[in-house]
Amino acid sequence: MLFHTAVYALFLPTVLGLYWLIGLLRPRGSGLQLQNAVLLTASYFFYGWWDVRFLGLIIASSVIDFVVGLGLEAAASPRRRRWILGASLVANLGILGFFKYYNFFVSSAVEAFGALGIDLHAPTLHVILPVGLSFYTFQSLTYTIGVYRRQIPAEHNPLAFLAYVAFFPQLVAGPIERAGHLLPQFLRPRHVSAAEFASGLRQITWGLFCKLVVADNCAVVVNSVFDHPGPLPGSVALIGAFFFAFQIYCDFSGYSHIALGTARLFGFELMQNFATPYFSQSIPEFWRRWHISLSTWFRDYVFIPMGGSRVSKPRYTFNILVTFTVSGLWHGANWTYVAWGFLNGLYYLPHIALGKLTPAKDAPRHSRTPILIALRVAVTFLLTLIAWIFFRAKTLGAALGMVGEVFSRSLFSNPLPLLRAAGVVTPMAFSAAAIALLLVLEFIQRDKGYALDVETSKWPARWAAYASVVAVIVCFRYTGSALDFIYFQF
Amino acid sequence: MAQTLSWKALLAHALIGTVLFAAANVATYYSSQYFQRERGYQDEVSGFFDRPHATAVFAGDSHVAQLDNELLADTAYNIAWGGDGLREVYAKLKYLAWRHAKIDTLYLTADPHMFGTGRLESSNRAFVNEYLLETGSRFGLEKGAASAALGLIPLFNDDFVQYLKKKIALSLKRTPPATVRDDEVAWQSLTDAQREAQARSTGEMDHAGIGRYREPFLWYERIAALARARGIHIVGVIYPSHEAYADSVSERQYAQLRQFLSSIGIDEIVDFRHAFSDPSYFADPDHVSRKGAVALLRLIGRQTGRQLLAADVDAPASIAARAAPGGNEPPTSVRRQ
Repeated sequence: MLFHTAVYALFLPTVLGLYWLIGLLRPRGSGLQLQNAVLLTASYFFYGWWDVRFLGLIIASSVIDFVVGLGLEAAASPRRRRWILGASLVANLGILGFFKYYNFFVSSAVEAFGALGIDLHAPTLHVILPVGLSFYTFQSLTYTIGVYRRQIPAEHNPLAFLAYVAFFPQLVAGPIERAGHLLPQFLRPRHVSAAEFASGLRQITWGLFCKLVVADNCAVVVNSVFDHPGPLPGSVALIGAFFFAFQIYCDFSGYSHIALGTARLFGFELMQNFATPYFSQSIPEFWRRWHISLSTWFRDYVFIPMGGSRVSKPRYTFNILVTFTVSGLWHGANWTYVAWGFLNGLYYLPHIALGKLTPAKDAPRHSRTPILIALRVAVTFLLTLIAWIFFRAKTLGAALGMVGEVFSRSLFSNPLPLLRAAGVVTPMAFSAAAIALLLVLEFIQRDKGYALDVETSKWPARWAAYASVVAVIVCFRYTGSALDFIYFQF
Repeated sequence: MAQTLSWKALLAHALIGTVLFAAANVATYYSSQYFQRERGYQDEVSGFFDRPHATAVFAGDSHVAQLDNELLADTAYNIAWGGDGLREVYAKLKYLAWRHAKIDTLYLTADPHMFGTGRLESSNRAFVNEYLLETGSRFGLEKGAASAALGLIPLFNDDFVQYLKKKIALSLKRTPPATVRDDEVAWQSLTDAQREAQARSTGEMDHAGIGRYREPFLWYERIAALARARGIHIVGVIYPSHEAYADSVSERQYAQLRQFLSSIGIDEIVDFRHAFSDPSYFADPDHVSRKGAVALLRLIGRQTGRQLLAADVDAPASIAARAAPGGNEPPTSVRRQ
């Protein structure tokens, strides 16, 4: 079930009505349990809508981690605790590895041995990747690791725990919540003020704008460029990368906004996942503002356990490269994602070498002139554009070919004849207008969690903002068949 | 976050927002050309019930729509509309059947281009959602009934938004408004060679992808099943066209399509593709002119043993009298697409 479909428009008010009706009728004790039961049932219904077989996997994963949590609490010896944690990691990562990476590793091994002249015949399986598997696996792992580190207590309420793992607003594409932040919210009565409810609706509206107006319109241009059979001039490749940068940003941040807004309607607060990343002045800053829940997950559970930054520079460099490469692999079983992650790691290296990892706001005053800021933002954005080519291209060869063209004289060729032939000039114009509007609003509201957070504005400005955004969604939304959120595949 | 907003105030805001949105929908519905077209489309279908003696129905796309209702006898009615695909034909027939229309014969288009790429998705697709929803159809609502129901609200109608975006794009390009052109005069003023070249290229375009997709076959099966269940006899009609247009489909393909139609119970197929060679019978390579329509109705009627042409037009003189001054025809081409 997609957030921007009519079915979800029926599903959400139904679940919300039932949920708050229970809250009104039974404000304490069993009411909370019933509300959690409604959330769990709704979440499983939401998830099963894709494929009912997926439910078995999420239930199995949840039950394993619930039992592991209790086991960790009961075990006294560190050795025993390590074994239990290990079992949880093997189970969770085993499921993830099998469904997501089995074919990738098998075919990669066959190719590698083939290159050495050794013929291997390993079977590949037709494995369907359950949507959101990477997200809920990582979220579930924050629980077992948290209990193992004694940062959080083991949960004894199975209903609350299962609802935490399957919470439908963020189940399939995050934000990847920490158990310490989200799980306690299932254990205490939820209250929502009218202002919070209104804020939730506003954030959902903003998410719909990002997804339907910006991301999906950009997709038309992006698909046409990246699915082009032959080589493309650098100018067209760069245009494709530009629109993809906004497609993926608005697709994913749009999902996150809808998730956060929806959760708020139910009385939950989820973590912010994006903070206007394209206004970043450096790559490290970009990664502090892009997919925050995943970046911090890798920081806390991969980078820091490897030693983090409090080690020698070569080791620090190694840690960064490994973290980014693994993060790339998390996105998908393809060498393009690995290359994307590795490239982002490489982008980090000058900052490590120069020791410039401080946020831009703390930089010396002389380097904070508007021109220098704009220049840094532009350079950072261009670097991310190059990396996005790897992310979106179908194969590593195709990505390298496109990047090669971007750095060739064909960058200065006229892209219009090709784009016109592909019939994407008009969609491109609409997408560019949508991007411009997005950037203006995000710049004005850059200190807010989302651009439509106009609660403190005077009512004429507020209503004008609502009317404009709703009008733009209505009139300029993408109208083809509903496109999946890109991150669902991860 | 400020906590000043009360639930009462929020509900009042929601109410105001809803009223404004509803007003915007009403204004859009009554001012937009898209919805005017939709109303015209639906009026044409419900017009069947204004002709109480009609028991024969013509259905198809613009080729069929050239047979204007005013040319038809009281016992026949044409629900065809330019741009219709087989899904639309099915939806309209299902709706008529659902409203207990007494139909005994369906003159269904059997033109090969109905099996081609160009007819897979119709520009009228949203116009028939209402019929499919109303009749509880199991077919035709690929995005689901909820989505189709939502599309009945003008500002949630995806096809309207597409139309709007196209209109905005055209106005930004400052394209001059299309000049009203009389197709028939234009067609007749061409040389034979020009007509042949135009017919060939139109034919190749219209017939691209014939037989490649499963959908048209499925829709014919559904139409046939619907007709069978209601005791309606189907006559497949292949409409006249320029020879070069018709010949862009091979005889083998014609035979295969005919065989398929026969396999689903459409045994009676009247083939008029080469019925006319005089250019005055055509408005363009594949649409008959008014003169052609009258002649065709006479031919179909003769071949199927039924009076289809209105008594008052069954004479060449009255055809001329009905034509607009200066050779301009009444707006039959409005429904052409």
